[in-house]
Amino acid sequence: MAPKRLRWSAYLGTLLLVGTAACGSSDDSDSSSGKDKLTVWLAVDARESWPGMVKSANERFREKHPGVEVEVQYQQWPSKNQKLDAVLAGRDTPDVVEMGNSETANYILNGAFIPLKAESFDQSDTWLEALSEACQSDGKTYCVPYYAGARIGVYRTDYFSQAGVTAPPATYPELITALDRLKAKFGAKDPNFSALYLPGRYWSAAMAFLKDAGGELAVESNGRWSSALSSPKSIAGLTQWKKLLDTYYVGDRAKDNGDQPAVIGQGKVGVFYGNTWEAQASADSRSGGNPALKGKLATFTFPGPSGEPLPPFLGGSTLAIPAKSRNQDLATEWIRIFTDRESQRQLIAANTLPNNTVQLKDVPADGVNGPAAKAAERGWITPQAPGWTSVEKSNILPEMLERIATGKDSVEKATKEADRRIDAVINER
Amino acid sequence: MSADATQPSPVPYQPADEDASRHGGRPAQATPDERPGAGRQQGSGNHRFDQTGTEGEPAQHGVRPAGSAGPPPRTRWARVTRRRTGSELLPYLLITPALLSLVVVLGYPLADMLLLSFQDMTRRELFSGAAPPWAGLDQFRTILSDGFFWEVVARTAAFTVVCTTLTMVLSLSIALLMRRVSTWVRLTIASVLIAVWAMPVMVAASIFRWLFDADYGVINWVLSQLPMVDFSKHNWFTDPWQGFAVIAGVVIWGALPFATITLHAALMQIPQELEEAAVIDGVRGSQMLRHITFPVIKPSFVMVTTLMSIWNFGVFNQIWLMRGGQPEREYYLLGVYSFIESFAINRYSAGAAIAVVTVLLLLAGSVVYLRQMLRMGEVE
Repeated sequence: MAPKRLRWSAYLGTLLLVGTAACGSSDDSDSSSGKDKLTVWLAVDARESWPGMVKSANERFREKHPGVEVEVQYQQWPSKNQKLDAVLAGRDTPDVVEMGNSETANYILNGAFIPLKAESFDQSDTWLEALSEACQSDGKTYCVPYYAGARIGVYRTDYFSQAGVTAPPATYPELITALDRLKAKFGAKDPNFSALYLPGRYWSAAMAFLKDAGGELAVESNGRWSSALSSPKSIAGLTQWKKLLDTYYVGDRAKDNGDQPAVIGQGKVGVFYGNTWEAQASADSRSGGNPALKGKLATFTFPGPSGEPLPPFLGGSTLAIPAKSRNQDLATEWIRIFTDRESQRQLIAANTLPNNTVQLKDVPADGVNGPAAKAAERGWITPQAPGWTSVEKSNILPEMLERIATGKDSVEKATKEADRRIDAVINER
Repeated sequence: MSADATQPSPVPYQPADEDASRHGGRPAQATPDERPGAGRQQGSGNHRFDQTGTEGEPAQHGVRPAGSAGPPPRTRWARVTRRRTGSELLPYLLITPALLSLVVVLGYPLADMLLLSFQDMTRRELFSGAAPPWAGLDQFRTILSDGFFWEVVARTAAFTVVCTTLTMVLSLSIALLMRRVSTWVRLTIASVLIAVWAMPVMVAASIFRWLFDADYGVINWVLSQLPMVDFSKHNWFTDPWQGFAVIAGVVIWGALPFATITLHAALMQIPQELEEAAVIDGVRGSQMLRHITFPVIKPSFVMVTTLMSIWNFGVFNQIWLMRGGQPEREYYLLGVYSFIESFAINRYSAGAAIAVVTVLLLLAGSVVYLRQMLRMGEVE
């Protein structure tokens, strides 16, 4: 009996050993091949909107570093950071990661990325503040600005002319007049027609009104952040937003702007607030839009109630190198090429805003991206607080806005509750 | 139980008594003593023997006062001894792979989670690989003193009770119906059930989400076709009661096939003669269900109810997907809450503590059922 048990446990032991050995050896082979291979995580935008620029940057990199293979892996925004957390906890990390400018702070504070020499990158002295600010911590630079995007107004030219509006609105009263006319002309016949598409959970739109009224998302004093959504100015901005939504939007108030191009493609929207590329996507069946709308969408600088352009959330991306990357020098070199003025020139050609103020002037003012370049000057970014990622990932802002939009809570009550929830996490690493 | 079996206690042990009386006709009971206590002893003693005749039981039986149960059955002794030296190891060997995989895929994560809940893990430790500092009971203290946590617990419990009750009532009804209908109807029902079963939760939840969409949902459109009803632009998830009604619907819809088919299989075990005899004895509709049908399927019913409760308590996918990956706080159940604390707010340890509490609550709830099941297992 005893020998039998021994024999069996020996079998099992051997099996286990073989198993672990197999795992171990596969790991080893990975790390040895990692020496001349660069893994880059870019968001899907690059593949969809400027694949040519990625290709040419990679070719220029290969000329300088023959024998180094660059593998670009495209990531979806919603799932990227959870994946990133998982790989950062392990050993095999990508060598370059694209990070949204509202995502960087927490990673930098927790030592996920290596510091870089800002001056060794092209045009680093003219980087857009909204992007470079997201890369700074304790006077060091941890990531490199990649591109920016500013939201603007997009309108249906055919609807405007049918409603008797001849020019895109330049001031807020003009905007209101145009929306009123659209509503009278199309909304009376079709209960599903929204003169302005402004879904409740679209937080970067709502926050633009808050900023326009002089409000803040959060303020820092003595190194501690606190949420400022229920300050009088913030409330005034959100009340303006709610009024626009009540008057001109008829869709589901509990939605966000995730499927905006597809909704615009349905043809029941006069004006929407979005990125330039969304205007193009709305006329492109690949992104759920309607090809019949080609040439019927134009952009304008969205005027704010204050009389200035509505200050847009300056979305944008940066590139960082994980501290666990095994090819940090090559990765730095790749970023250098990927963000130099030649690459930025190609980005502008693909209707994207560049990472620096010098080339921002190269964006044609009468082009589709002209209004965005103009709005970008008033652009803002989310608070660089340690816990802001938690605020975003736990959807505090969309939930607050949904409660306001659906009328469940007053602006005052909803913002107070959101302040309380944000204060609980905003200073946490 | 073991104490009962070794000492001739004067107090009659009721459940075991039942055991003995039910086993009355079997050879093991062939020489019953006059006294009920003794009969009980032998019955339960033998019974224990069958289950765990390997753990030094013989010694205990040896000290049994002579005369109380007569001489121990020799043949059985011999057989047990043979088994011990021979293939006694085989069952353990056969169960080893399953046990090992359980330890690897369940035991290790569970132990790790328990450990994590007593630490304070942040992203710094996650990224650097450093050992997180110990936090003692801090995480639990924070959670248990938070009113919102108890709100979520109450919501989860209510959701579990409602979903489980409805699932069991509906599945029992359908299973009973399946016995009455003609073969082709039964086959149709069965294949529809299997089709539902085969549908991945991801797909089902996404489809239901679109069905109930406020702007483009077909449910709103259909309801609006009714006279005097206008459901256009009605958002089912604005009011959490309505939202949970929809989510519960999806959960129950997905759970029905398993419950129904299991109960149907159990119902097939009822001998025709039993029911015929009952009818001749004058048993009517609901009496039949209460006294004849239900007792037969009770083991399966209890098992399915237990599993349903466990699954419903841990519901995550349906809520996550139907709220588009961004559930409002009104839609948090324990699973969702733990996930968001861990992976959205990055309080990994707080999330682990919530999960630990969830497991404990589940265990407490399951104990009732497990005891019931074990007791029934003894009856078998």
